[in-house]
Amino acid sequence: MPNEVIIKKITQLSVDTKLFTLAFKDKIYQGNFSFLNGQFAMVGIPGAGEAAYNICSDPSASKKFWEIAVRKVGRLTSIMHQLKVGDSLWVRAPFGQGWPKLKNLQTANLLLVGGGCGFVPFRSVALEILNDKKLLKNFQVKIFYGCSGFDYLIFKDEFVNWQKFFDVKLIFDKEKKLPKANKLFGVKCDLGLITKLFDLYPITSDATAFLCGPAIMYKFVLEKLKQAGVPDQNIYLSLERRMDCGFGICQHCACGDKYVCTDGPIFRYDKIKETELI
Amino acid sequence: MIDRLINYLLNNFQVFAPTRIGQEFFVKEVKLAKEIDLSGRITENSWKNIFLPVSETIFNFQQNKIIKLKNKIKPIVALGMNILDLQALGLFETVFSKDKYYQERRRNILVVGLAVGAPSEFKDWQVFSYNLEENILEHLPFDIFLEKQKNNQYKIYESSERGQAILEKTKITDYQHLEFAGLIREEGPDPKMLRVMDKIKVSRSNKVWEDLGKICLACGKCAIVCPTCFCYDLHDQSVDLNAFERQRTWANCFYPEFSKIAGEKVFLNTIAQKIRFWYEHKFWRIPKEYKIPGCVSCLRCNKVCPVGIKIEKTLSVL
Repeated sequence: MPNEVIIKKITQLSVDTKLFTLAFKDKIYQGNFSFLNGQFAMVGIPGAGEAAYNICSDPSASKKFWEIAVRKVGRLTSIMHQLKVGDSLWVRAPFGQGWPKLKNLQTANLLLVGGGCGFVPFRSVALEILNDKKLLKNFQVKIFYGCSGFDYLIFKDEFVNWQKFFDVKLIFDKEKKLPKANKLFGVKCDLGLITKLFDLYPITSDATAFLCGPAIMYKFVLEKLKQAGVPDQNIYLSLERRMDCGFGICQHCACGDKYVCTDGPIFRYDKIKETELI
Repeated sequence: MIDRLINYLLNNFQVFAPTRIGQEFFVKEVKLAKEIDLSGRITENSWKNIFLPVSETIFNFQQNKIIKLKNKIKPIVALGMNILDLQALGLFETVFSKDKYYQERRRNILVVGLAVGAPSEFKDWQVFSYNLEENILEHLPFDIFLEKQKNNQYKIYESSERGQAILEKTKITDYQHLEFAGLIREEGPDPKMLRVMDKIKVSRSNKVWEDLGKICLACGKCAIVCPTCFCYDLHDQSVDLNAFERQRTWANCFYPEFSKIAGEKVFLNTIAQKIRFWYEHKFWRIPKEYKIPGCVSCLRCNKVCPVGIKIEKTLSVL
């Protein structure tokens, strides 16, 4: 049964994407709410239905508020984009397996590779590290973010701060000219596909890679990771499917013996490389 | 004795039973005892609509509030379910064990099973080989079970207090109590089921899927008649400007909407992929998750397939 959430804030992230800051109407429910990086929420509007959205805020702030980034791409998201602060959404959350716990990773060299709106789930990873001194001290974080054009970049206002602690690189595949000083929001930019970043800024085999983006990106990025000698078990991918129930019953997100909603949406590469999930 | 039971059920419940229409047999609502067919034939349609309706409203939104439904469901009897259909019901009981909408409906349904001896097609079904004989009744969900003897008399069993109460009310005293022992047999999951699962796991590059993909029309009739296909959609329906219903409806993995996400992206693109998805659900995901077969060998899919795809042939070439 969905719970009502109130939209506390709406931030325009790019020409087609808005960030919704949400809190459950029931304050006790909100006070007990928690999620893991990479988990998702089924968010709906009465009459328009429900869909899965990654929760992209800092998990440590979950008891106060939480956030989703919504790209206007279909009927439900078009209606969501018309909503105002104070309006309601109806939510079931959280669902799925998130990214692995950062402190349990095999290596402290973290590479986040995001393509397009696939960059959304990395914001909560970045925020978790930035807000935890121990993690910040222990981890070297490199971010590769590929986007079609300057107007489609999301979370750009946060890059200046991220750049102080992380090595952030941007690349655009539909732009013809680089911005002034080859920098945008304080971050070094290049033109081309995301794989070019692997040639310009080589990675080492001790990287743990988190990937989120379109299937075509995975194909080429996985090749680059393999060339760099990153073992399959240190690669994690976030996958997308239609989801209706969220419990592994309705079958919409099934593939082989896996369900993206309950076994995923984050999968360790070596566990799914023989499947058609990617 | 049976007549007394049937009349009692007709007077006190909404009764769904097999009935003959022309040359064919369908499960439908019946009002009169003479409409009921107790020949044990497998009906064209399955019973699943009674347990999981084609479409059901699970709650309402009104003036931006969720209104829980308090519909009184009239007590229903599923009268004359054969062993295969009871196995399919067993799967539903397991899959939807934590689904309160299913459970609310289920509490109002009395299940009366029926067996009239092994069907003549039985020899053709060896590919499935699920043990349908020894102690089968102990592993099936029912309230009352009617087993037709060679002398045309019925041996009667009950497996629930509700079943027993109804037999008492109809003054039937000659019955046996059977304790439901779970769907999985004492010796463990069916070995043949596990062998088929092992084959389907590694069948991704098997030519059979491409071959079936060339002839299958993706009409989805097999999924509609299948008693174990339970995929569903959740979607909203407008009632008026301020009222909406959240509905659960049957989904069909052969239709493009099944795997479509915003932006018109579809994940099951080819008919070969859809067919394999259908088989993987029955012969891989269900046995892996629930340790019971996802196919009960009723062969309804064979009967409705417009291009003559035979499920047992597909399994035999894996």
